[in-house]
Amino acid sequence: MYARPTLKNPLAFAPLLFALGGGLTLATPAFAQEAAPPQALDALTPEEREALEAPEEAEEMPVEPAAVKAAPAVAEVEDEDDLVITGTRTRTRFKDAPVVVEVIDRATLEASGATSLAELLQTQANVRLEHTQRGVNASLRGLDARHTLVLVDGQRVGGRVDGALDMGRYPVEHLERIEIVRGAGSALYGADAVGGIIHLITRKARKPLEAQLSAQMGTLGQYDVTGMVAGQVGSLSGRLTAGHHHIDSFSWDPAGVATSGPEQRSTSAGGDLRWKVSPRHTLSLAGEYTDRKLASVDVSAGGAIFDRIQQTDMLTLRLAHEYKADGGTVWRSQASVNQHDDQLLNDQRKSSALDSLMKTRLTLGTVETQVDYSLSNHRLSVGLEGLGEYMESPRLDEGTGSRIRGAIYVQDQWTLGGLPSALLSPSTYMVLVAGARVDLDSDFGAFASPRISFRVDPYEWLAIQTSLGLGFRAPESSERLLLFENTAVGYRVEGNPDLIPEVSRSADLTFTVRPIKALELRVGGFFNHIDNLIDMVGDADFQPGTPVVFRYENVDAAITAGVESSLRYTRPYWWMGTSYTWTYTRDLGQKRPLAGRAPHEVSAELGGREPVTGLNASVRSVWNAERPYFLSTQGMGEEDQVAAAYVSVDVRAGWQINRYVELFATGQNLTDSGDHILMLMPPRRFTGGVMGRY
Amino acid sequence: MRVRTWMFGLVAAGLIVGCSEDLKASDNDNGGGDGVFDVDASAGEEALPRSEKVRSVAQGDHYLTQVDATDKNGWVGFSFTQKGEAEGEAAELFFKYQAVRLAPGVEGVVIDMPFERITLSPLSGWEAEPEGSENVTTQEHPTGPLAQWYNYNMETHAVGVKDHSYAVRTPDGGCYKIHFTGFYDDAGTDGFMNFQWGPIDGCFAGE
Repeated sequence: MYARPTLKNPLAFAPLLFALGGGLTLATPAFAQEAAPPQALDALTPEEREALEAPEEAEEMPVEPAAVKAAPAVAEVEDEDDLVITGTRTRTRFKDAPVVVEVIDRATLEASGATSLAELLQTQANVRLEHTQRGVNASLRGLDARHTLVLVDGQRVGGRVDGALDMGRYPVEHLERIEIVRGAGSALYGADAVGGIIHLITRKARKPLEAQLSAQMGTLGQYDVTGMVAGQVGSLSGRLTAGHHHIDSFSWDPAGVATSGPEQRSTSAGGDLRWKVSPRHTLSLAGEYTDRKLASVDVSAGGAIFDRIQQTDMLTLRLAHEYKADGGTVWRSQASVNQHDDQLLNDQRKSSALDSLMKTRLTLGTVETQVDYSLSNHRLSVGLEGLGEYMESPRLDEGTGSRIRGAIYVQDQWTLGGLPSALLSPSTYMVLVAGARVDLDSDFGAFASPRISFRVDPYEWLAIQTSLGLGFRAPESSERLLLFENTAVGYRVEGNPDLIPEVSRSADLTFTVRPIKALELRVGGFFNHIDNLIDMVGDADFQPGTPVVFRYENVDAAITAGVESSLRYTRPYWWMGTSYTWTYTRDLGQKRPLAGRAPHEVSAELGGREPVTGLNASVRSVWNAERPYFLSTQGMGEEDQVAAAYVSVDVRAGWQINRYVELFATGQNLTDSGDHILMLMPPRRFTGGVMGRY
Repeated sequence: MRVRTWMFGLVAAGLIVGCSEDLKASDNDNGGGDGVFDVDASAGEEALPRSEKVRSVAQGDHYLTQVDATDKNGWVGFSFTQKGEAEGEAAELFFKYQAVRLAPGVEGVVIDMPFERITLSPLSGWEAEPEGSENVTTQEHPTGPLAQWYNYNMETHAVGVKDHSYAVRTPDGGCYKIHFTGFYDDAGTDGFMNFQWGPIDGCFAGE
């Protein structure tokens, strides 16, 4: 049955979203025109032809197999990976990007040995991971995980727990590359892009036929099987990927009953189908489904033992259209639906008095359209976005919650040139990007977020990038509407419908030096001031039997600042990199550092391949200094605790037997870092496997 | 599925691998036995009254009792004399979740000594329950002589016991020492009052 769309059931807008996306596609005058006949293309000027054809050429150029390519973690990647999109929401060559973008390409994903995004980011520089019983959260620039926007092919996804997304739910077999942009990005992407954006770009077919099959197994009950088949036939191309992963639970406290990390079992499948209707029109349909189960053992403060099971099902469907017009104009429209079902069971042993089962369903629908115009030295982008969110949960007052948000954004990317200057050479590259976005939300009303970025390359070997921007995080539906009482434990959490968005003001300045093509040195500083931080505030008056009432409030402000530096050296068959980050954080309300942030972090990686024998190896490591925590003690009050400094080391070694088959072995967390309280990382483990590639 | 968008269902039908089953708790959760209260009377151990809400076991010169006070709306009575559950005027202590009150005519006093070292009743400090205690709810601060037997951790929501003990004297001249030992049953469920108690000498009836 079809439900009437209302604000209380925005899910029913889903067919309208698809219709709107399709309608925008069909109704645009551009789509209505017939494809330009070949002779018309010949009539284009060289500049128009380059602007029209260059991105296609880059997309269609095949990727060199990882077997013969030494893949840098962050560097100028080749072929179609030379394009990045996240920084400006337009396809830009990596070396010309006005905003600093960090790229983790497919070769690096495979060389890392990681099976999930969480494992990959564990040894990634300048990404802070927090391991919890509900998953692994990632944060940037000293901020919280809830201040990190995660996109999949340009679309935001649902299923946040306490405002954060679990990085462990993204298997890497679906991913082509990951783009990380730090700093406020709300001017283009809206809510949650405060600390930065982690953009997952799924794999696309690039050859007439390609296939990949990988299987590995190892300690801690780990086994992983992944496969991909992709191909192109005429104007059609498609890709199917699937994977199954398993790892046992673990405990850093063998004397106790509780586990530190859950048993994880996940199955995922995804694919996309692209139809190049004409040289100008491309339609694509994509979808991913993930079934994930986490099982752990918890012990309550009263000694009750629970078998906790969390079952999550996620389904995403995307429909997109792209049109490339004359003069480099590109029109993109996209509609997507993301559904996230979560069940959390706490099954008490020896009794059923405290058993609980909580089911939550979140449906997120988005529709957007963006047009990029090239006008002389300007690249003007204008976009419209619509988002509808519908949540069903017994945790919410009235059991359901919904919101609708619309936004318009504008950005001008102005390539400055020909300016007379005694200091700058005629070949100086300068680009100024100014943009702003206005979001109109059914909950908190209107919010405007501007940003300005500037890049100048006074010399070929030096790039200076800076940006100022405003970011915001919209209150989650759960923060606004939550009414959840856990009588067994003794607390009640109430939402606050009057919450206003958290607001951040960000600035950064980065110097990138490339004295030779193989060497890159980058040093930059950043600053964030964030207001209206949302936190839970509890009653001071309490009694057992009387639930302690916690309520979400805009209560705090914080500052994060720091210096990020990195050095990368890439040779044809080996590469190395190192980075150092100093982070300063301050909770302005509590007058203390933010919990869990390491003031110092050092990372290092080394990898290489011997082209004759096919042997290859890579090692990635990260060291974090001591981190402060503030834990409640028995009764009232808190005590300061310090988590010890730790090192995490991941390695991978492989033998490319021939063009098609590689044997490999991996080691994760070789230093066996972790503990039962503050760092719930999986312990040291090893795997061995085989990968076939065609 | 409650999702009522035909387009969503049409497209999803071709892509969904399989919907997961609904989770549910296991059924056989009550096979843990009675723990310390699993008394074998045929072996010569003292058989004590046992009811649905109260059970006790002898432990040498004292007793261990557990009261199911999980019902936050009703008091559960206990009698030292009967060594088990009691109702109305026969009860000497009443329990309702974490709240503990003395019956009318019963007095109590805090003793800052380990339970096993208490052999005589105190000479002074006895107090009765204030008026209206029978109407106190679990959401209010109890104020009687035995009210402050616990600690409460607001972060973990755990209820812990304080180290001190109490003495209780009844209108018929009986005196007893009592020490609370926990607030949970063997499965960790809250609301189960566990306490040691035993008779003590030197008892003088209250004035």
